[in-house]
Amino acid sequence: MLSVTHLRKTYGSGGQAVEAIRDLTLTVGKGEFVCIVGPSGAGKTTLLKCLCGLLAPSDGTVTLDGEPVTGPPKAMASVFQDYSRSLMPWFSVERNVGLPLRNKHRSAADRAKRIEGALAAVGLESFGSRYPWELSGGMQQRVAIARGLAYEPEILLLDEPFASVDAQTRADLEDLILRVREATGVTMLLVTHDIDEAVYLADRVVVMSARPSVVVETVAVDLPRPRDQVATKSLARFAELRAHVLRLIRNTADQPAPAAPAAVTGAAHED
Amino acid sequence: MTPPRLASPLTSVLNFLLPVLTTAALLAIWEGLSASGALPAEIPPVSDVGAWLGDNAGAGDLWTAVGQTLGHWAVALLAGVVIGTAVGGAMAAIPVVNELLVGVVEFLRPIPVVVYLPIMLLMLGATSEVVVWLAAVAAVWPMLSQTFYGVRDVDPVSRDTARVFGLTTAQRLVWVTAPSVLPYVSTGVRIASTITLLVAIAMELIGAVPGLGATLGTYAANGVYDAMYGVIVLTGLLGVVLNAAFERIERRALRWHASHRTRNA
Repeated sequence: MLSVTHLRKTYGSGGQAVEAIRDLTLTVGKGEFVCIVGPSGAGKTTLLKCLCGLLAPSDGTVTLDGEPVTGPPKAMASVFQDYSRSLMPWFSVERNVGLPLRNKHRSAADRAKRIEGALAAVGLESFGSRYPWELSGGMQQRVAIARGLAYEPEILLLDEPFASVDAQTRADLEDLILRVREATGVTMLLVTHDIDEAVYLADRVVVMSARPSVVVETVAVDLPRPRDQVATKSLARFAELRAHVLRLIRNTADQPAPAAPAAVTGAAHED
Repeated sequence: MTPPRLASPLTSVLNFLLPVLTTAALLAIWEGLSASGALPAEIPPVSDVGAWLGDNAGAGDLWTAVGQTLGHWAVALLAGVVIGTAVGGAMAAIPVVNELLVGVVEFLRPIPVVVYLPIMLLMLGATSEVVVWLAAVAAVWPMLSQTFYGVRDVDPVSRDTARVFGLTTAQRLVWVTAPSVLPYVSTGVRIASTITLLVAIAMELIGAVPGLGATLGTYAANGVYDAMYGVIVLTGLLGVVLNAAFERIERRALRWHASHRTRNA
């Protein structure tokens, strides 16, 4: 279980300090699919960097299965928005997927098996010897997902993973992620600014306010699974949830930041 | 400087032919001017230069000089590449090192190495060491700045990726930083190679250290002009061949890089 308690992140100090995140508390249960949405400029990427141990929070704690996160945990993998920069162009698809496995698995045969399995899970089994830049954007992001899966994490963090691909590819990748999750049971935490995507994918949607960010509301998504791009999105309940989340985001985006929701546990952030 | 490869056979013939035509025209003008008597005696007809090169292509002395110069070049380039890459990389990666060295580097870099020649000749005599030292110093600068900017330019997303997946410092260096920096370093090597060759020949010439430079100096001092121009042509060819060799290596090593990717994807 991933648990975030009163996370605060401020960049810089003194008069130039920028408060990216004011107070965030959330938990992601084992096997859960949680999406975080917020208006652009909410500290979404900052939050993910704090969660995966790349940034130290200014205050508050992040724990994974009870262990405080102080650096990148072995039980966590990430998929970045910018696949073309996150994949190493000098390595083949196979080597990219196998990149993080050297420290987990001593035997080359073990690693090869896992690379093969991960590529099969994203439908790229015959592309192992190609280079990422020989593939389309959607395929590159699938390689990045395969790399995350090959690492065999308990939780996969996805930072706007489908924001740089076209609409059709995006729908395909969303369904791919849902299938992978069915098959592996891996916990998913996905950050997006796309409300439809969040509602379509998630068990719970955490709505963040604009900077300085707080949690506005956590919306439970009671849509049936398996989800389907057409059937699920045609449900009246989908429209309701979508409208609800949209309203929350528009309200928070319109309001000046300090006036943001009273739901926040008060005292701590005066100084 | 390689002309872009175009599909049609006519254009590919032209791509090969046009640069050759320019060279041929220049040589023809040279020959014509000599024949008409417009050039002074110090500039012999190009046919004489060609004839000298032809006669001496098998000459042991000439090839010994080429070998000596290439020896100077190789040792100096190796030293310059190793030192420049190490110092440039350290300056880019470790702020304290940068603070400590940036002033010295900025002061020393614009000084032409030839100013050190007199003191070096006094200390070491007209020896290969002098040539190698000075050529190495000249090679350090392009390597240093290329590596510095290369390391500074490693993509932050690649860096984050490597950290998130728990790569060790050594793994990050070998699998992420080094390949990212390689395009910069290989450009640096090509620049440094040319500079090293230039400096080596110049120091041989001025310091009378055995090598193509000293050979050139001897022919010039004795008024053997067809031989002098023959040696000049030879040094030019040497530079072209070395550069072509490095470009070839670079194309193979960096076939993943955007500037070398083949369009068969």
